[in-house]
Amino acid sequence: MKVKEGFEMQVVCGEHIIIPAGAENVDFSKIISLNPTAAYLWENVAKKESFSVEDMVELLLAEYEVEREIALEDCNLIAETWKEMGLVQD
Amino acid sequence: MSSKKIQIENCMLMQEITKLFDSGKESVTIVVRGYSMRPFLEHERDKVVLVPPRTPRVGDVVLAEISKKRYALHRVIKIEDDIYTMRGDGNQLCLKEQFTEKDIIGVAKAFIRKGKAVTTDSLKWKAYSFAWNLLRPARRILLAIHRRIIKYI
Repeated sequence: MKVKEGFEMQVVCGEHIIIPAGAENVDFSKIISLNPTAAYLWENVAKKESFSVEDMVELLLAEYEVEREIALEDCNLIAETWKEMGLVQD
Repeated sequence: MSSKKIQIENCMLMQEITKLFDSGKESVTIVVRGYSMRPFLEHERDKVVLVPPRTPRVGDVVLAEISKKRYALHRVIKIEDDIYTMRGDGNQLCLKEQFTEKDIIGVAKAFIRKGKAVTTDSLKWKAYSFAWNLLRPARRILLAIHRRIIKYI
């Protein structure tokens, strides 16, 4: 999968949020915010041409002390959520 | 996917809006808080789409810092030299605020009322503004009626 074009992550009011890139409207009533783990993953995969859930797991294991199995579960969930929200595409 | 409501402190939100405009965003949408723009805008039901500060005209709805860390989204009713006076549509006639151009955070371009967009250059908004201005003498009574029936409409 890959991150769709036209999104950027910014820290607004202490929250990592995903907003449209460029001049487009920013709607504070419908903001997508990422928790610190998801923000870390996003930061590292956003620039990639393409990435897999396995890549996310490796990133997670490199930064957090967590068992691979749990990391995989979490990354699957995050990837699914991103797809649901239309932030990434296959 | 979960959704939660985050309440942002006003002065922090204002800074963020200014930052977003400075970074080149054309507009920012925020949820309306308070009742001072009744009967058109309702607390937490409606939203306002703001564009970066520009010189306002009488009738424009402006978000401005009216005193230190106090903000209001009200309608400009008078311009004298560089002093702007504004008042909430739903406020008593004795209530008004003054500001200068540098205090402007943003200018309303549209409202999302009951989920529907009404732009400030639309006939609907202009007709409402015209009528509400005409009805100014009866404002107190109309707002009192509105307060009693708002939960049914």
